[in-house]
Amino acid sequence: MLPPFEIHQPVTAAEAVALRARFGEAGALYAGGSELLLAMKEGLGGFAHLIDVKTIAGLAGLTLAPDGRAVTIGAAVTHRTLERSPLVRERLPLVAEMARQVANARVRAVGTLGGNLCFAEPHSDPPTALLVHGARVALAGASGARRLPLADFLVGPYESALGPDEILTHVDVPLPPARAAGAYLKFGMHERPTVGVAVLLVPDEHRAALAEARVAVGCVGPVATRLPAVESALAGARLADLEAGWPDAARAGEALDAVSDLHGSADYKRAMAGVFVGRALALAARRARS
Amino acid sequence: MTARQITLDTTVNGRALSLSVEPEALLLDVLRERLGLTGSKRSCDVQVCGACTVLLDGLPVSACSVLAYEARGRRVLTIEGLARDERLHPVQEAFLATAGFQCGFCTPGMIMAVKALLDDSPSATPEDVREHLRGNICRCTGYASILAAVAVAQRALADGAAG
Amino acid sequence: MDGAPRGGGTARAALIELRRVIDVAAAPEVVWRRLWDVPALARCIPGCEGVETVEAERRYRATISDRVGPFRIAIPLDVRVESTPPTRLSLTAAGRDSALGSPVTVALEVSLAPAGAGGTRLTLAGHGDVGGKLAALGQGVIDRKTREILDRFAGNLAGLFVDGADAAAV
Repeated sequence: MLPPFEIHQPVTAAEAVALRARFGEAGALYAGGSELLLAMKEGLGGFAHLIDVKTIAGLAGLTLAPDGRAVTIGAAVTHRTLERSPLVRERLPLVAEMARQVANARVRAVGTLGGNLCFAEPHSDPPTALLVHGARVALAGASGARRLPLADFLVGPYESALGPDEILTHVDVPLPPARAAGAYLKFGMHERPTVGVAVLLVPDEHRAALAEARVAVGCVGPVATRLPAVESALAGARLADLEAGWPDAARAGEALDAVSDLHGSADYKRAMAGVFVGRALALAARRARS
Repeated sequence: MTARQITLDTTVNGRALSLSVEPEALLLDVLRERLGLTGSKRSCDVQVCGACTVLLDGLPVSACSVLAYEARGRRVLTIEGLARDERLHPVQEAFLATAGFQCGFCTPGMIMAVKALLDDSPSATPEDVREHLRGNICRCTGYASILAAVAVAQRALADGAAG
Repeated sequence: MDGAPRGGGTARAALIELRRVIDVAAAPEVVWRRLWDVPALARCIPGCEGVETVEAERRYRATISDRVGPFRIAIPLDVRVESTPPTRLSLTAAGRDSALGSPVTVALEVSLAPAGAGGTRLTLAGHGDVGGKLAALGQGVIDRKTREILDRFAGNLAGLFVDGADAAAV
C-alpha cells in the first residue's frame, strides 16, 4: 500500500519547477512510477506531493533535432516508445536495442527515460547505451535552463546532478558517425542486470579497421561509465579480428570501480564485464562489416 | 468524497465509469476491491511476476504498481472483459485446449500479456513470444504448454481474421 | 526490474569496515575531555541530531539521518559507551531505520595516543552492519555514505582543535 499523497499536474516546465520549489523534500517528481512507487511501497520517501511531469506539454516528444544531427527524446518518453519508434530504430539502433531489453513489457509500457535517468538506480540499462552516444541532458530550473553531458548528470547511486528546483526536460542523443555499428548486451540472474555493455564502433571507409571505438559498462559500479583505456587500446583494430574475439577483452573490466552487492561480487562483475565487452565487440564488429 | 479524492473517469471492460478514488489508490485495488474484478492477482507487488497484468489502452501494465489515476480517460481491459456473449476469447480457448495452466494463479495475467502481444504482432515468432513473456512467471513451471497455447491462439486468430 | 530494493535482497546484510586515523593538535588529556562534551561531539557527526543522555558517560540516544538520492533515511540509535580514561573508548550503537525498520549496528573502538609535538593521534577501528531492506540499496551506496560521514566527522573533529582558543581555554 502507498502512503497518502496529492498529485499535481503542471502543464509547463516552469510550473513543475515552481511546485518543486514549493514542496521541497515533501515533493517528488513522478513520471512512470516504475521506480518511485515501488520505493514508496517499501516505505521510502513518504512524499506528500507527487508532481506528474507527464502532463507537461511536449515532454513526450521524440524528434530529430532541427540540425538533423541528434535525436531529442522528451523526458516522459517510455522505454516502449524508444523500442518501437521508427526514428530511433533507424537513427539510433543501439538505443532501440537497449530499450527492448529494459525489465519487462509492462515496465517498458510505463517507465520513462527521464524517470530512469533521474532515479539513477545503478542497475539500469539506459545510461550505458546513452554514454557511447555522448548524450546530453537538458534541465529546466528556477534560474533558467542548462545542458550537461550525461556523464556529469550521473553522480552516484540514486543521485543525479538534478537540482532541488529542476526538472529534466529532454535528452539529446547525437547520431552516430557514418558507418558506425553498435551492440548492447546485458546479463543478470535477477530482474535487474548484473552487467550491461554498450559498444559503438566507427569503422574506416573500407570497413576494415576501427577509426573510433566507444565502450561503456553499466550496473557493475556506482554509475555507468565509459572505458577510455579500452577505447584507446582498440584504436586501429581490425574488424575481422574483433569479430573473431578481442584477446584483451577479458581484462577490459579490470579497472572498473565494481561494487559487491546482490547482483554479484566485485570480482565476478569485473570478470563478467570483460566477457560481455568481448561479446559486444564481436557482435558490433560483425554488424559494422555488413 | 474527501478533499483528497480525485474523480476518475475511465472505461473498464467497455463500461464507462466515474469513480472517486484516493490519489494513491493502485489500479489493482480499485479493480479488485471497488469493482469486484478479482481475476487480476496481487503477487510480487513489484512488477516482476505479471500476475496482475491488465491492459491500459491496449498496453500491458502491472496493475499492482500503476496508480488508478493513470486510467483517467483511458481504457482498462481485464481478464473479465475478454469473453463476448458467453464465448471465450481465442486466447482463453487456446489455454484451455493446451491445458496452459495448472494452479491458474498466473493465468489471467499470462492471458492478458499474450493478448497484448498478439494484438500488436499477430505473427510474433516463438522467440518474440518467449521474450515478451519473460516478465510473466508461472510457479507451476507450465511454460511449455503456455507457449503451445500461444501458438494455438495465433492460428485461431489468423483463421478468424481470414474467415 | 526498474524498481526499488526488493525481493531476495531483504535478508542480506551489508558489512562495513570502519577505520580512520585522525591527528589533532591538542594533548590527549585535552582531547579526552573534549570527547565527553557530548553536544560538541555530536555536532561533529554529520546528520546527528536529538542527542539525549540516558546515563552520563554510559548510555545515550541519538538519531543519524542522511539522504540517499531523493530519500531521507533516519536511524534512531541506542549508544552504549565503555571507557578507559584517557586512552580508550569502546562504543556500540544499535537501532532500526524509521522508514524500513532495517537493523543497523555499529561497533567502534577509539584509542588516543600522543603524537607529534603535543598532539594526539585518534585511531577509530570497528565495523558497521546494515540489514534488511536498507542493505538491499546496495553495498556501494552504504560504503559511500559511510565513507562520506567518516570523512566529514574526521575533518570536523580535527577542526575542534585548530583554532587554538579551544586548547588555551582548557
